Amino acid sequence: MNKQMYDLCKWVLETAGKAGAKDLRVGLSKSRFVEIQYRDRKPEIIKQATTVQMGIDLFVAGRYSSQNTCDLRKDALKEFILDAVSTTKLIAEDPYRTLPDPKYYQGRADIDLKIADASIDDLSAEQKHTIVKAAENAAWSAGGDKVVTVEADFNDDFGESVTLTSNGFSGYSSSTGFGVGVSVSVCDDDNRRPEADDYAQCHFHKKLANPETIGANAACKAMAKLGAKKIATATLPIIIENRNTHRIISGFFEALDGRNIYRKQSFLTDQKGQKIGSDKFILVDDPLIP
Amino acid sequence: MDRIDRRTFLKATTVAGGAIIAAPVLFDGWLTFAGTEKAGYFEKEFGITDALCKKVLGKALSKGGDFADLYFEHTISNSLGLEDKKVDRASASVNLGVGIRTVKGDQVGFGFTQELTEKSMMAAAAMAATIADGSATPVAGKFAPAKTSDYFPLTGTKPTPLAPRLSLVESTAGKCFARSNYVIKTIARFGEGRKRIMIVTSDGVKAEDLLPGSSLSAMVTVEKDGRKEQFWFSLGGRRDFSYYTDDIAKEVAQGVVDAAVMLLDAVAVPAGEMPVVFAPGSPGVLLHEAVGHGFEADFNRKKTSIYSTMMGQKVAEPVVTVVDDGTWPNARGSINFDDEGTPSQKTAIVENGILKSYLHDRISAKHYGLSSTGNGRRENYANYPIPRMRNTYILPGPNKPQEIIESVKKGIYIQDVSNGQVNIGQGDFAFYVSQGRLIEDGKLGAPIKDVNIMGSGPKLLRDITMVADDLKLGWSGTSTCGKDGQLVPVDAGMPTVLVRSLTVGGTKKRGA
Repeated sequence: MNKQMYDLCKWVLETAGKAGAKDLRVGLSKSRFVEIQYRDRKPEIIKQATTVQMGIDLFVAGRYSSQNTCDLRKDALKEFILDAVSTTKLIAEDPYRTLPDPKYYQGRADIDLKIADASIDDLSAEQKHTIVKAAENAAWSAGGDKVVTVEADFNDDFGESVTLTSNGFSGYSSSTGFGVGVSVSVCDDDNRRPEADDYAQCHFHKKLANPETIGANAACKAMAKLGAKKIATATLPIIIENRNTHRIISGFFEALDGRNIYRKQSFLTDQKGQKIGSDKFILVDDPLIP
Repeated sequence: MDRIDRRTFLKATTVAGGAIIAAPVLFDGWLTFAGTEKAGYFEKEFGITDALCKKVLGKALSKGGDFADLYFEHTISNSLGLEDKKVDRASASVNLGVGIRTVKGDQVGFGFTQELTEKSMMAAAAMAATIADGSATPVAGKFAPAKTSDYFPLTGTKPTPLAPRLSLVESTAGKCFARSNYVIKTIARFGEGRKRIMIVTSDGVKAEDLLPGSSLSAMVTVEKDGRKEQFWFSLGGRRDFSYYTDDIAKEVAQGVVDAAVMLLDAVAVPAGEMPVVFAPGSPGVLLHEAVGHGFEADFNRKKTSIYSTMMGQKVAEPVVTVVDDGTWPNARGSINFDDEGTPSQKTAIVENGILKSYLHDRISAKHYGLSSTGNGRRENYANYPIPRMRNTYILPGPNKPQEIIESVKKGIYIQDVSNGQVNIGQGDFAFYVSQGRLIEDGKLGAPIKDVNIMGSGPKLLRDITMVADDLKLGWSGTSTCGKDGQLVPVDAGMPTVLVRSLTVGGTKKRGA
């Protein structure tokens, strides 16, 4: 737990409580990131920044509002909170929108998700440039003279967040991310410019995929699009590559969203327990994958 | 309703001299800026003087580079939401920061900070400077204010309170229910934001602006004989609250309810190649997505656009002229100057079928040896500018809309599209037709549903053979373009046009 962040959230809870917000949720997040991008063997973008954001959900006399700010000086925050409470009192009641019952906070698993790499600061700028160059060089090598341009990038980030609620929830999370990606454009005989990319992301630097493999994969995927032909409109069986399945199943996410169920806007409304797809179709949501 | 006294909302960043900002205020429950003046805001409220800008720019160019720029931003946005006949949710957001960029050729060093202090800005400038490795580049001695027209003048100098906005949203929902007995649910929303920006460049430009943006939207669910349909519709642009009269609420209610009710009787269409007529207005999003992105100069500079070798060549029939226009009054994509300080303009991309210009920011303009077209845009201070469209549309042509529809024996008429996928390099696209009609023997027929259109954007442009005289922008007030992780407000439009052949994906078999 970042004590400085926790103390600020605690202060917000107390300040809002004194202003009349009996129930509220406050979340504070901080992140810093670096992005290095090369195109055609020279650095094209170098970007670095640190960001902060506070979100406050207020439940005042059965009414709800949400507020966000990146100005965390206490004087400014105090004014922000007081005015947010006042605004919330002006809108209509929504008795169904409340903080979760505290009983749901009980029995939480006390486990480390192992998604923060403590050695993130050990990776030097030079090493980051080396990763990008290796990925790009591999793409040029694999693509040959059909390649028009190659873009390669490396990024890493560290983020942490604290969430407190007035009815007893307290949570902290931190994570790191490392990514390498390559995008390759090739030129087809008819001047079309098919493009393909490959990328890898992970929480730990040492687990990051080999950049040469990423670069070569991107080039091979782009080359595979050369000579693509239009086919006649027809009803056909389709095989979906595993990396693209999320684009297909994401179509179900809106229908599964609780808001759309209670609004009766989803085709899955009142379908719980009913057969809605193939016996082979199993969809799970799992936030605990290491 | 309780009345909240107007009072200072945020205290200032403490700067030399101890200035206190009094600009953002909560006015009867609606968080906004107190004034509408455009020049002098960041100096007055945050102590950002020309001397300080010069010092930070000097740091950004301390290792060389062609130029550097500072982009200061202070944005306040609010929204109100209605569900189940009452406004029961509100939100507000404040964003403040500065982005600092150093450019060397086509290379960019970029850093940003949310603290408008000299120390933080110098640190971000030092980060941006790392893109170069030579000796320092000098900064201009003076910054001259950018001269431009005002394409979205604000009508009042005082903010309007929360109460009439609550009434507007409630009234819009009421009008939706009143328009049809089939309406079983309405969700309505009013959103409004104001962005203050100041751009200062190392070559002496200083541009300050206050950009408004707002929209009134509604989504309805209709039900008839157990069949349910939904539709969503909105109006808005770079408008202040004075735009949202009772007539606008009626127009939103009419637009959303009539389209939803029409879907209750929609039929499937057969798949295959067929002529397609696009209605004026909203289908302009297809022009933006499937064609327009290919004209953005960064894709051409990098040779990833199919248009990168086609400058001066025929890309459409002579009846087609495509423009990108940042000057259309109050349109959502309009800007007085772009986010690099270049004055806005109306740019002819395709003129009488010939490719005449890409859409340039400063980097691509230098690459091609041209002047920027004022298309260097960014989402906010946390991003650097890249070429982006503004309001993109096809100019009116010689035909009448009815004449175009009557020219089609069997085809479809598309009034709105959504859920698009585009591959810029290949020009391929696929879109869902969210509102449309069959065309049979030159007449509009039944409404259609479960239809996709797909094809190549450049081919679609080549296949436009008739253009009517009824140009409309979409005016949705919420049109937002995403590129490289950045969202910017845009609009698009077109007159009624005929595309001689397009692949239509439907669920009905031919002849069935």
